[in-house]
Amino acid sequence: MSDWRIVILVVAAYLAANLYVGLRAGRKSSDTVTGYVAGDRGFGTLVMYFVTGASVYSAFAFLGGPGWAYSRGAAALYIMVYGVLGIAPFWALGQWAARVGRRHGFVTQAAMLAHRYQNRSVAVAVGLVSVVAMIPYVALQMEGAGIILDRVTDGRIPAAAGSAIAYGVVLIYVWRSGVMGVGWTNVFQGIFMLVIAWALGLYLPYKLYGGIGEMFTAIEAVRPELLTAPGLDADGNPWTPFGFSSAIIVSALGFMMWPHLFMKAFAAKDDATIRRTILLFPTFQLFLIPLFLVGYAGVLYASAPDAADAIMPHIVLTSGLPSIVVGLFCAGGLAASMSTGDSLLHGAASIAVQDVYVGATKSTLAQSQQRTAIRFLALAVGIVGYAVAIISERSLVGLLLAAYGMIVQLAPGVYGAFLWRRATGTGVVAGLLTGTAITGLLVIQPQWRPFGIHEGLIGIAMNILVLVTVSLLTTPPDSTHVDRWLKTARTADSS
Amino acid sequence: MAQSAAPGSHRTVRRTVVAFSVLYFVAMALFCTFPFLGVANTARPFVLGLPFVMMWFVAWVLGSMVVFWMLYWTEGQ
Repeated sequence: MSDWRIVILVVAAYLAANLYVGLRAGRKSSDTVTGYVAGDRGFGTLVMYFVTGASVYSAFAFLGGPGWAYSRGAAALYIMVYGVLGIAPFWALGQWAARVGRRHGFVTQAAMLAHRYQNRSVAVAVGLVSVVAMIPYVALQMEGAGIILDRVTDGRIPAAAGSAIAYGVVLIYVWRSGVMGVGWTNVFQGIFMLVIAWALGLYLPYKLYGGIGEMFTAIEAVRPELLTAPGLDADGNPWTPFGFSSAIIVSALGFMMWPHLFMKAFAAKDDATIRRTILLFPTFQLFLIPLFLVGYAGVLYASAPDAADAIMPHIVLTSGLPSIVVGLFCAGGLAASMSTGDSLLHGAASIAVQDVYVGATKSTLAQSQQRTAIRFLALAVGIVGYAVAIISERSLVGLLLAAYGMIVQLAPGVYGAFLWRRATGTGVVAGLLTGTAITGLLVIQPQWRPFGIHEGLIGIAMNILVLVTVSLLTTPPDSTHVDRWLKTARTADSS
Repeated sequence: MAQSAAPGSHRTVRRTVVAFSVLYFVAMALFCTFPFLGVANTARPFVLGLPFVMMWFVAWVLGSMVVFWMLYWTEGQ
């Protein structure tokens, strides 16, 4: 057993470093809302790369990635492709959004859509769906941070206290520095989690099996079903090819619709920064390889953890690694959690103020008042997320999957804005509400899904149908407005 | 002659690259899901120690970087 005092020291040093980086970063941005939410549109490639990659890879990937490979085998491969398939359309979409954002001053995707459709209720509906979907995601990150600290300290820091400590640090730098704090801590956290994951993923198969090929040969002899797609489902039965395939398609469609990711297009310095970020993004995707290797290393391991997602901490704690490595692993896990959680807290708060509150009440808050409101909202989202994490027992992953089904419903309105001139605000809102309601209903009543099709896929089909029908029945949008808007989106900046 | 042809030929190159990229990602979506994933869905031979199908997914991810690089290169002009 490792020495918990050394582990806590390493973790404390990691948290202190985060605080230092996060607080320092805030000095660089202006006191405006654009400064607080979009970093004065000044993010270069380094920060954009890590913000995107580290925001995507959460505690869910750090614990769930190995957990999937361990318990479900090649089913885990779906995670590796959907990210690339999901970010590819953003090559066009991200640049279009950034251009209209610069021209009209948007910092959220809801504000962008409200302007395109000339309809404030679009902002309110998109904002509400976004915030509701982001809360279980925040809660899951907090829970992940708590679980890691609880395991590595053998319960000396209970999960509830662990979440509070890690997210106390996050709230301090989000409060002080806004997106600049999120950006620069994500660079630090991203490097940390990449190094830890690759080091453990390459080392553990050698230590336990004598090599990666040797490990897979040993698994092939006993559990060959883990080495080919679609692998197993959550209950250990063979997963259906359809389940595997539709999980990839739905996740790819929803991927960049997550507001905390989409919003970063407005933080990019120029179009080339977005292009370079996407160009480099697949390197982050490869970060799943070592995580899968750790999970596979657990298949024939001497003992089993109490839950599949605990396989990585289980091996790290019981394979005789030095305490300092255990501490670094713990910090790497916290980095994965915090780098996603901070984006979510900051994004949800910005949307709640900018789109839901200002959109619904048509109030004209001064810049400084808006910034203060966003800070308090970030605190409030943190408290709500924490309460959800503490109260709910096991259903968080289920809640996250439901949230994913909701976020996918934003896709038709976003694509419609750039690709279908005839789309109207009323159509988008009607489609969004229909899609969300149907997805929610099928999450509660899974037996109503025809052929076990993913609920998000059914929701999105109905969403598109309603969007198209209602758009055609309502007054066409002002064509000069749409023309001008699309021209801005399609014209590359001169810089 | 060459000067007047340059903008037009650049547009052709760009269109070709964009069309190729769209094709690549459609193919990726098809060959990483069923039924087409069936052509590569085997554990043997191992490549660099990894089961073949796992390396198949890694190869598509690496290929996407080449495609993004081509897009970057044409759009940067």
